[in-house]
Amino acid sequence: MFSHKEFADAWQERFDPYYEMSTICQESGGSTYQQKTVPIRLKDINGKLVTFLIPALEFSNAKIQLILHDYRPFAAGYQQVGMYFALGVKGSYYSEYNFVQTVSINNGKPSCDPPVSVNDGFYNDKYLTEYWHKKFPNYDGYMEDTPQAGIGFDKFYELTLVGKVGGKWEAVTTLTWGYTSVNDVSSVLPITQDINPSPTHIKDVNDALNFYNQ
Amino acid sequence: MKNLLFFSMIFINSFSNISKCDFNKLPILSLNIVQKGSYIFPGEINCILVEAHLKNTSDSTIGFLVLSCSLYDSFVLDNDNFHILHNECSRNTSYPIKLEPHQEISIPLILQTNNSVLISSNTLKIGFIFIKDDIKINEPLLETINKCKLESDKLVWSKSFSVYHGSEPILLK
Repeated sequence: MFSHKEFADAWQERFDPYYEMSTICQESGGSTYQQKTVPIRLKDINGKLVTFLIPALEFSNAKIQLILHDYRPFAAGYQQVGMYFALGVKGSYYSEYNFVQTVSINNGKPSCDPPVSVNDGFYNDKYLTEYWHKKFPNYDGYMEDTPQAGIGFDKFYELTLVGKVGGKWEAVTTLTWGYTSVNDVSSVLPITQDINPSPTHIKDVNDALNFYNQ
Repeated sequence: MKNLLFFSMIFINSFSNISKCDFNKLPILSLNIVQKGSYIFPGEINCILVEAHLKNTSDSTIGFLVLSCSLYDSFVLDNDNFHILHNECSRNTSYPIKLEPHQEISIPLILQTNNSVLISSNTLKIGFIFIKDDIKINEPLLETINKCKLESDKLVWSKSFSVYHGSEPILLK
């Protein structure tokens, strides 16, 4: 039987100390990321106050800072697990930011998330973008996701940050994130820079850029 | 000094208690449940489709937050024999919803139970967790929602209703 308590224990066993930076972030490719950590205090799913070390990724080449605002699994009840993922962007090089995301479930074919029909390929619609600006004035861009699924589902995400400069949208960088769930326990996958995005993701990014650059 | 600390803590606690979930003082939203049908699946699993009609009963626009895909997270039931069926989610992000004066929206929910419960007839109420869209929260929305779920007197509740057995439940094979 699914138990929040058991889940929490297993989670703490697996992730204590929380988020060792060496495992959550992996430098790859041309080492464009500089890594530092920011401690924040949050309550875990049992209400206990814990300190999380949140990795802040500095994308030095473009003077953009990506800040991992939140990244942890949770038990959703009724045989469901999920995770919190939130990413902030700081940087004045681009006048606007957005994201293109694809998800692959259980190693299946990736698909745009949300579907292209929802917002023509970009993650945040205009309404959400305005809301994030009000809620997080210190960020120039922001996105969050709270995926949930039944136990046994693995979700692998490719996420491309896009920025607008000179009136044109362009791709800035691509990350991967996600989680796996086995035996009632979900665990986060390391965040990596995606130097070899899937063909589907590349197509979704290009389609979205073409649409918004018309 | 200890007294000062004590009273400061009381003040902070009082302030935080009214910050997120306290909707009772603003009875501007009503929740009406409309049952649409019941379905029996093999294995004695019953699903009841209902529509939750949320209406802004005030003369001004109100805004609140839900999760864009798992809208069901904002609802609770007062009867443990039922639970709300979860669905697979794509983009599941905090999403502000504005309701114009007297505007109404309906949100479909699928309640799940087993046959014996349905046959023995149960009544239940459904509650909605109202999180104001301008509230400052520094945690995932789902965590705020889950905390507010524990304060049942601060939710928007529907009237109690008996589970509708339908003309004849449809057996899905």
